[in-house]
Amino acid sequence: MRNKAGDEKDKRAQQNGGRKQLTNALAGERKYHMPIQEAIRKYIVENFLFGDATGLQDDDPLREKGIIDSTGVLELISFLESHFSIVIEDLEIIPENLDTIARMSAFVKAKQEGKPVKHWEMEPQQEDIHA
Amino acid sequence: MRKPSMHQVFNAEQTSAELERWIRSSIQQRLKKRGAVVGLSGGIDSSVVASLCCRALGPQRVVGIAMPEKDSSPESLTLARRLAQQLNIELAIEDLTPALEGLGAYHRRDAAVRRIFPDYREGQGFKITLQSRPLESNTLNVFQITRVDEQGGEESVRLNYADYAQIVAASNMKQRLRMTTLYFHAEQRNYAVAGTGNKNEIQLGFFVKYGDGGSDLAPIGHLYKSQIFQLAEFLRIPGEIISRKPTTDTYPAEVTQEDFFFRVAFSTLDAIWEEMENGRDAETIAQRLQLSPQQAQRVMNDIKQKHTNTQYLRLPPLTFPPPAPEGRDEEQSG
Repeated sequence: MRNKAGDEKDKRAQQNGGRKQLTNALAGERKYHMPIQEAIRKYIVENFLFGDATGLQDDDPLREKGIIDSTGVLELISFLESHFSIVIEDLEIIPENLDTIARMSAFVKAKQEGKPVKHWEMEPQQEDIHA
Repeated sequence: MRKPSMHQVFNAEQTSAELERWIRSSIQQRLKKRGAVVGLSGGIDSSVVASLCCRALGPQRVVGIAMPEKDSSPESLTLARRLAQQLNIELAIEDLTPALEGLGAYHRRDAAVRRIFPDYREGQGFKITLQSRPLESNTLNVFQITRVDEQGGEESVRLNYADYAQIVAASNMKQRLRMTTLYFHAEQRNYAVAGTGNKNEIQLGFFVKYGDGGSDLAPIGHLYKSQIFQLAEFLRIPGEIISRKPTTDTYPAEVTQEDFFFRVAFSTLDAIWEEMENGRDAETIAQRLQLSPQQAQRVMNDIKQKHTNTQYLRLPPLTFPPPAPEGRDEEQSG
């Protein structure tokens, strides 16, 4: 695969710029002073729960609780990238960074501060014994 | 002691006989129809369903419909013709390209592709695939678009939600138009539409609601893909159809179902799934299938997630008041 690894980040950054125009619940009222965790929570409550935050905890596993599905993950990534002006790398799209509001908040904060974040490392691939 | 594998337990001859009786009684007694219409893609699933229908109803009561459009592989039509010839059934060929153009399917889809690749030209190859590989990593399921140039070089970019949704919504017009076309031929003859979805597709949500999911009966909807391969051998489906890699035949560049959605070889996926259904935990499954417990657990999680995430695809239109108590479980788990 000619994946143009060197250019990938620049292209993603360009795309991210384009994505800022895309739909997200807070696009029209972006508040940079709003704490990260609060902004993420507000987006999730408005976008996925139709404004009803009853019982939602910041450490609830959102996929396990059925609040977001795979399409929701895509929406969430678009929101985080455009609202917080960050670029999320493919290797960072893991439950440890994105599964709860608290984890997302810590992840965004680390990205903004240029600190290392969790990412997956490929395990050695085993032979497909059933093929 | 190792449990016998699915290959040893599954009895293709007996399954075929049971399904033939079921197809015959379902179409004649429950649906009150005179025969069956099957969309032929040149793939193994539709070939098996057409063959079962022939054995159940006789070839004179089965019609195959091939529905090529401009992104289809030419091989699909060639193999559909070969199967129809072998089964001695009528084959109708419907080119869906003009209707899809009229619906704006290509135009709407390509507009989204050009937001990602501004120099994308109509007719260039591209495909959509899932990035995650549950056997190797715990990354979440997100889609990427891959452009394929004339030399076979590939360039991949992760899709954002808006572009993904537009490409999928426009592409799903193909499956829904195929359904519309099948029902034209079915109603014209007072026949039933026999669906070609298998257990992997239906239970994990790899189908289009009211598209390929729209049919009167689903004869292989309870069978793992691995079992369908065995059934195909028993039914003497042409070898080139059995050995053909299952593809979506939806995007301009060919993409296998494994790359597009399942992300694990069918043989491994089905073996883990069957063990799960038998109540085995990740440790036991890993030991039986020579995987690491983490690998087994990740594939199990992926199966559960895909099933849960796509619950709505399998639901009929919801009516008020909600059914209770059986329906409540279904809706709450979705």
